[in-house]
Formats: sequence, C-alpha cells, structure tokens
Amino acid sequence: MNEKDKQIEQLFDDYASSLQPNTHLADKAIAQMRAKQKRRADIWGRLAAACGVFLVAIFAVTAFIGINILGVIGGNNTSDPPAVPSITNYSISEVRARKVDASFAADYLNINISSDAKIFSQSYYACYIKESGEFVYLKAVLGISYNGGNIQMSVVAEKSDYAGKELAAEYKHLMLGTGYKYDTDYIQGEYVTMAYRKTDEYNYYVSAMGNVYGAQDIAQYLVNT
Amino acid sequence: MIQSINRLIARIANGDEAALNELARLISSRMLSVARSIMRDWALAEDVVQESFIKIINKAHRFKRGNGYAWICKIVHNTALNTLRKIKPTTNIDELFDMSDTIDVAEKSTTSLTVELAMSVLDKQEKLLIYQKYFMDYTVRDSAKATGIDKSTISRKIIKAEEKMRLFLSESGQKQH
Repeated sequence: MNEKDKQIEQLFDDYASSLQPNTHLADKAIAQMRAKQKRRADIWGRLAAACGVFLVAIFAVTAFIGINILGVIGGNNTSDPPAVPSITNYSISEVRARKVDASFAADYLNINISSDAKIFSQSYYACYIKESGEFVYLKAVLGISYNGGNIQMSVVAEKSDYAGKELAAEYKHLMLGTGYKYDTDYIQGEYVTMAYRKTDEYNYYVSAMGNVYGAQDIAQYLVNT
Repeated sequence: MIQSINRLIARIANGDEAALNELARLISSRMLSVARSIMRDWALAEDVVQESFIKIINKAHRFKRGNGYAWICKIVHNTALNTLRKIKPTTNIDELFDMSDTIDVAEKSTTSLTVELAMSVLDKQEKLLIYQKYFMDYTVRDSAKATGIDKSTISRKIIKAEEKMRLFLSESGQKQH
C-alpha cells in the first residue's frame, strides 16, 4: 500500500528540488548546540579538576598513612563532585520580546484569577534570548479591577534555569529562603507590592500598584499555578 | 536521501554542528513547506522550523532507526499544530491544509504550479493525504495517527486520490501533445 506511483512521486521530487534551501533557519539550533557543548565542556573540565583534586588528596592521605604507620587516620578525604552549574545568567538587553495571546500565557500563569477580580486590560510577551532563540520568560502586564479598586500588575514567569540580572537585583530581598514572599512599600504616594516565588519550573516576579490587599491576594494566586 | 538523513541525525546526536548544517541544506526548504502547509502566517512558519531544528538536536539521541526524514516532518507538523493551537485554540485542524500555502506566490516555480494543478482535482483531505505520502514520506499508519482516521479509510482515500491525479496527468499530457 505504501508503494508510490512513480509519476506522482516524480512530480513531488521535482517540486522539492525547486525549493530554495533556508539554512538560516537552523541558526538558533546551531547556537544552542554550541552553548550545550560549551556547558558540557565546562562540566567535564570541572569533573576533571575534581578528579585531580581527589587523586591528590588520596595521594596525600596515603603518604601520610605510610609515614605514620601506627597512627589511625580518620580524616575525611572524600571530595564531593561539584554541583553542576545549570543556571544561565542573562541581562535584559540580551532578550527580545514577542507579543503573544492569553492562551499562550495560560501555560505559565494562572490567569483565571477569581470571580471577585476582573481583568480589564492585558498584554503578554514571550521573551527569548536574542542569540540562541531560547525561551526565557513570559511577561504579563495586567489591569485588574478588584473590590472596587484597580490594580496595575506586571508578572514575569522566568524559566528556573535562567536568572535575569536585573530581576535578581530588584527582588533580591525576597529571594532568601523558600516559598512565596511579598512585601508592600509606600512609594511616592502609591502602594507598591512586590512578590516572588520559586518553583522547580519557574521563578515568578510580581510587581503591583494599587489596592494593597487585592494586589497581595492576586499576586499569590497568579504565581500558584 | 533517507539513509543520509539518518546518518546526519546520528551525528547530530553526538553534537556534530557540521551535520546540522548539512541537514539544513538538505531539507530546510522541505521543512518550511510542511510548516507553511499548516500556518497561514509565513513568519510563524519560519519560527516553527527554527523551533523544529531545536527539537531535532534535543531529540536526536532518541531516534534509533526508521525513516529520519518522516520523523523530522512529524516534528515540524506537530510543532506547527501546537503553535497554532496556542495562537488560535478554536482552529479546526482538519481544515488547515492548503498546498498553495506552501510556497510564496513570488517564488512559485513551474514545478510547484504543476503539483498544485495536479492536486486541484482532489478534495482537501485527499490533498493532505497525498502530500503526507509523497512529500512527507508518511506511511498509512503515520497518516492515520496524524489525522485520526482509520488505516483502511486512509488507504482507500489515497488510492482514489492517486487515480484522480493519474487521470488528470494523463489528460493534461495528451492535451499538450
């Protein structure tokens, strides 16, 4: 059944041959492949270094035992392999944004907030590393009506294997420990709530202005996906 | 071509950048054609192919044997459908395929017009199945999986579509003489 009709096959072969190659479409994959190889080389380098340190330690301990034959050496000579660095730092200038819709954003954020809150304006942006094309974070800019007050909110859902330098600096005070953290400040006549939560998959950064308790509630809801 | 693509996939699994370049040279245009058969937006079709190349390098180690070219077409096809679902969740996927979308009007060659013309005698589903069989190298099983139609129906539809195309081609050949 899978046998092909020669005439039709020829037709499609001719058609395929007439298409112009678009090799630039593999550029991002090539960049990613290079980055992966670089990471792999770094890991092997570190492992090799760790092995070197381990061997030197073994040699030193053996020599020490040899010298002090009667001594009981109970030293701890194990060296743990170094933690594999898996976080990629980036700066905002290395990122390009593309506008996306709510259905795209729903994969990263819990947008159906609650019956008390109504989103009256929303914009979503998928952000990628310019060089590699890797998706880094989703940013939502929301206008929310809640208990008679309005809240302007910005939420970033950043993949957990990335760390934005500017975001890290801005949310540093909330990043200690684990779990959902937030605080509210009164800045130039406005209540500004900032919230942070880290999960295995994403780092969530929230910044909200307006109705304080609403901002705190909604921030928590949005990042608890 | 299938054997050389299989070899390239194996090399890509080992991080061979030259193999990825070679693969792009060989089939990037075909991949773009597959993406364009689903996406109306050309820029998005290019994004789909870029994402597909990334998936290829990430999944290459899992490809063991079989038809590497059809495997890649499936990646492009699924990536395009996923992208489309994210953009327009209400899109009816069965209605998507259009051969004429696979190539830019300004770039249309005589051969692409001939394929388009020969497929003009087919209905939308027949066009899709013929395109999958002859351009994407899909087996009946692949098409059944992709369309959700049972294999015997797919086989019947393909036979009927091939007959229609043969008739059209022989008639148009006679007219030319």
